[in-house]
Amino acid sequence: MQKNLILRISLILVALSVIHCKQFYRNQETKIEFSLDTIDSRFVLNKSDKIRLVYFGFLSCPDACPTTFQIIAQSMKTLREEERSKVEILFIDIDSKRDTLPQIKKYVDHFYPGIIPLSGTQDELQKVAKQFNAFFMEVPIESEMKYTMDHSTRVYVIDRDNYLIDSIPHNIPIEVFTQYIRKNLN
Amino acid sequence: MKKILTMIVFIAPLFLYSQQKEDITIQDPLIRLVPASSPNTAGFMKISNSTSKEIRLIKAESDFSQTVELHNVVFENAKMMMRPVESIVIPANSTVELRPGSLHIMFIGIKNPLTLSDTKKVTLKFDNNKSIEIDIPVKEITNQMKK
Repeated sequence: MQKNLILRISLILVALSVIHCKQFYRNQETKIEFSLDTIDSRFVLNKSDKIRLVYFGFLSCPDACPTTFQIIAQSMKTLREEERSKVEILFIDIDSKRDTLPQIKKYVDHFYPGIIPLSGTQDELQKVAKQFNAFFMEVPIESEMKYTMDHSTRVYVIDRDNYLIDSIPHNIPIEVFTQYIRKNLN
Repeated sequence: MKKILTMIVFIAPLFLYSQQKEDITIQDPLIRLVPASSPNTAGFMKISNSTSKEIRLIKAESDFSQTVELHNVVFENAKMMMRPVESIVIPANSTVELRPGSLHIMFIGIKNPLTLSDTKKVTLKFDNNKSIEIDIPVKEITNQMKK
């Protein structure tokens, strides 16, 4: 129990020191521009009064995707209402051969209602991923699944002016994830 | 003589107990609750081998999905890669943990959406010709959960 507490405190301290460092992404000033399909319309990334959390994944994902959405959902619930209203979550589904937009919407709604489901052609999706320096690739496997998608597991943060300002590591404690959101809200 | 008899009375149950001990034991099994539109899910558990020989989990079977496979997840340079594995080795006198971000049982093609109160029958087959049938509860998993 005590060991667990020490581990958690040290993780928070590490995260705080990371958060207070000058961010690598801020210096790069990568401006993100894309439009992708969403339910019944085209989503265009416009300037917004919200910061955007962006995650790349697929519905057959056994692990990283559900874990990330659990963390996002729980973290959003711990934010205050005025903070929460300034955060938008985009899920870019990279398995356009298998996953349809209605399925993707149903999937994200399970975790947190309001997450925007996005999809596109493989070519469009690769171009978007490149802007984030994110990676995904279809890999054939000896399985009934026929293929899997290897993919980046970070959650990317876009500011209100569409600049990529941060990326959050995979599978960190919810309180640390929340710290990342709060830091980027300011 | 009396002493020897007393010793037998005390030692015999211990001996019987050790003979009854199972070669393979399963602890904390669970199946991840996934959204209805997710075609697959994963199962996790701890598998203990109390024998002095390595045992391999070679197959898992269940009726609630079209196919069941053994998979591993590797994280490298902030990327996730999932690959099938032929078997999962449980070394002699050891426990192997199937857990998120690592080895797991992959249930492919879920026939009916999962709910939290579900329990699924899964049969595990080992290379020592043993089969173990277990009821696995469907649970929500977060990174804060250890089991």
